[in-house]
Amino acid sequence: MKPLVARNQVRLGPTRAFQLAVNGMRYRPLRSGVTVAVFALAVAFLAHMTSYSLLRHSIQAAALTELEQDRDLGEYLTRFGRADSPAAIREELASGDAARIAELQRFSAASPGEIETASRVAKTLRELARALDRLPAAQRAMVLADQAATDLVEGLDEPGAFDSFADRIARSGARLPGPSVTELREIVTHSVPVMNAVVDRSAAGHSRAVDDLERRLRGVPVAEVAANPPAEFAATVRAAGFEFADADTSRLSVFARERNDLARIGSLLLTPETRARVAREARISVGEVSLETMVAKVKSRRRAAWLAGILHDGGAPASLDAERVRDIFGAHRHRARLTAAVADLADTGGEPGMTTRTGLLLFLSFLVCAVGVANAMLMSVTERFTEIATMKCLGGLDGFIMGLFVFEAMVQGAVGGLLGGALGLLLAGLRGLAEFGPLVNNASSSLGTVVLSVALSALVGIVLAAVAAVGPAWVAARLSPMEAMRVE
Amino acid sequence: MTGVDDSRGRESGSDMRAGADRAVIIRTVGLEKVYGVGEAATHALRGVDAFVYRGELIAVMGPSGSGKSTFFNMVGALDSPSSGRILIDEVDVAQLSAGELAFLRCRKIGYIFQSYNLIRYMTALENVTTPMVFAGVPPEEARRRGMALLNLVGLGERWSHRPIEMSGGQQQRVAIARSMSNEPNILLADEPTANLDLKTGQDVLDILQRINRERGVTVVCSTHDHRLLNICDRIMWIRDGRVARVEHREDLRITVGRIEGEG
Repeated sequence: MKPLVARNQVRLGPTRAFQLAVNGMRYRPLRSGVTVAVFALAVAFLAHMTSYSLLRHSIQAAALTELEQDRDLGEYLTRFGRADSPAAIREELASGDAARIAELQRFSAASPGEIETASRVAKTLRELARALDRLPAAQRAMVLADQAATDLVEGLDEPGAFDSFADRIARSGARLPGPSVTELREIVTHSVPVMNAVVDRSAAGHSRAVDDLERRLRGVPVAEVAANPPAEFAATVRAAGFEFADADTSRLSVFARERNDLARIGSLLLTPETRARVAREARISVGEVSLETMVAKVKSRRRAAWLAGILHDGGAPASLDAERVRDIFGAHRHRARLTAAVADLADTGGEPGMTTRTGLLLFLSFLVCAVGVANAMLMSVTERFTEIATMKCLGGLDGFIMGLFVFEAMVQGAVGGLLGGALGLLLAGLRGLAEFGPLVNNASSSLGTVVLSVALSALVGIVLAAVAAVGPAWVAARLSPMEAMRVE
Repeated sequence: MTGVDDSRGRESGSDMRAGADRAVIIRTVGLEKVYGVGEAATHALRGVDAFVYRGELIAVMGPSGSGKSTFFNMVGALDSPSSGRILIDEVDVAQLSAGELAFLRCRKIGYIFQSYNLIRYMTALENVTTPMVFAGVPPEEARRRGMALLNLVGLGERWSHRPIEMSGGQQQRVAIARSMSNEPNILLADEPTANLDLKTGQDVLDILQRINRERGVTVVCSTHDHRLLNICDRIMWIRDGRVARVEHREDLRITVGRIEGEG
C-alpha cells in the first residue's frame, strides 16, 4: 500500500498551465471566441475612452499653443504700430511676462526696484479687483457702490477714495483674501504712485519707440515691412526700443504676409466691380460675397486659379497667384479649425485636460468593462462545473484547478485586451478625424502616450480577467466534487 | 481497535468464515446522509455499516433511490456524510486535509461514472493521462503508460479521438483506463453499464473482472446489471438507505429463486 503523503501532489507550473490553457481554448473555439470577443469589446470601449480623451487633449493643447503663437505675433504688429493704453500696461505688469516687463523697463527707464514694485502692485490690485468681483452679491453692491471693480481699484489713490472704500468694506463685513486693509492703505499710499509713474513713463516711452520705429522705417507701415523684412529688421526694431528676437523675424514675416494678403483680398472683394463679377461667376448673390464665403468655397486648385484671375484683374499684385490664394485660404481654415477645436475649453476653464465629465465617463466605461468581463468569466467557469468536478475526482488540487481557470482567463484577457485595445485606438482615431479633421496629425507627437494607454487597457483586461475568474473558480474548486456535478 | 471488532461482529454470519483472515480496505461505520433540511429533508442513507475486503469484487445492488449512488460518493470521498465514518485503509477520510483528499482520489481510488465524465475537449490519451498530470508523472512516461492502459481496454488505435467521436462503450472503456492511470488500490464503478447496450456492457464487465483478477484491484461496483452477479465475490443489497443483507456468490446460487423474486 502506498503511504498517504500529500506533498507529492502536483502544483501547477507556468509552462504546464499555459499548455493546458491553450489546449482548452483550442478545443473550445466557439466558447473561447465569445469570451475573447466580450473582453475585446469591453477593453475596446475602455481603450477608446482613454485614447480618445488623450487624443483630444493633445490636439487641444497643440491648438492652444499654435493660437497663442499667432496671438503673440499679432501683438508684435500691434505694439510696433501703436502705444499701449495705461490699462494694457498695468495688465502686462501684472502678467509677470519677463520679456514684456524688460521692455516696459526700457520704455520707462525705471530702476529694477521700481519695476519690481510696479509689477507687484499691479498684481496685488488685479487680485483685489477679482476678489471684489467674487464677493457675495449684497456685499459686492455695498462695497462697489455701482462702480466696476477695476475702476474702483484704479481710483483708490485719489484723495479720500481709500477712506471711503475702507469704510464700506468695514460696514459690509466683507472679508477679502490677500493683504489686510491696513496693508492695502500702505500699498495705495506708497507703492501705487510708483506704479503709476512707471505706467505713465512706459506709455510715453512706448509712444516714442513707435515714432522712432516709424522714422527708421521711413514711413512705410510696419506690417508691410514685417511681411518682407530686410536683413536688419530685428536690429532696427530693437534699436527703436522694442524687445524682439531675430528668430521671430521669419515667423512674423509669414504671419504678416498672410494677414496682409488676406486683408488685400478682403478689400478687393469689397470693390463693386470685383464683387459683381465674383457673384456672377460663382452664381451667388452679391450680398453673399465676402472673404469668409470665399475661404469656405475656394478649396480646389481650379477655383483658386479662378479667384486669383479675378483678383488680378481687380488690381492684385502678381504675387497673389492661385497657389498663394490656396495656401492662405488653407491656413485660414486651419486657424478656424484650431479655434473650433479649443472652443469647448471655454466651458471648462480654458485648460485642456481631464474634466470632471471625462473622468466620470472614464469611470463609467471602466464599470461597464468590469461588468462585461466579470460576466464572461462567470459564464465560462459556471458552464464548466462538471469539468471542474471531474478534475477534482481525478485528484486535482483546489489550487491547481483554480490556477488553470485563472490562467486560461488571463490568456483570453490578454488576447481580447490586445484586440480590444487596437480596436479602441482605431475607433478613437476615426472619431478624432471626424471631429478635428486634419488636426489629428497634430496629435502624432503623443502617439506614444496613446499606445501606452492601449497597452494599459490590455493590462486592465488581463487583471480584470484574473480577478473576475478568481471568484467563480474559487467557489467551484472548493465545492465537493459531487456538489459541483449537481450544480448543472 | 475495538470499534473494528465490534462492527465486524455485527455482520451477518455468512461473512465470518472468510472475514477473519482477510484485510479490510474500506469500512463504513453508521454512515448517514441527509439532503435538505426540516420538512424537505431526505434521508438517503440511514446508518450503513459495511466493509470491503482487499482484492475482492463486490457488487452493490438495490432499487433506484435506495441510496446506492450516495453510498458510492461517500466511499469515494467525493461527498461528506452527515454523520458516521468512512475508513479507507483504516484512515478516517473525514480527518484528511484537502491536499490529502486530492492525493487519495488521485492515487488510491479510481472512479468510473455512469455518464463517463470524460473531459470533452481532450483526446482519449489526454483524458487518461490527466490524473498522471496531477500526480506529477513526467509527460513521456505518462504517454507511455497511457498508451499501455488504452491497449489494455482495447482502444490503443483510437488514442487521438475525442469523446464525441466515440461510442458510449468506447467512452466508458477510456474512463476505465483513466481510472487505472495511477494504479489505484480501489476502483469505484457507479452503474458503469447503465447507459450501454448488452454487448458493450459485457465488454466493460469483462475488463473490470480482468482488472480485479489480474491486478488484484479491489472493485466496488453498483449496478442493476444481474450479469455482474456472475463475476462478483459478494453482493451487498441496499434498501431504503440501509444494508439489507450481504451475500457471497456461492450462497447466491442456492437462493437464486429468491433473488429473482425480489428483482
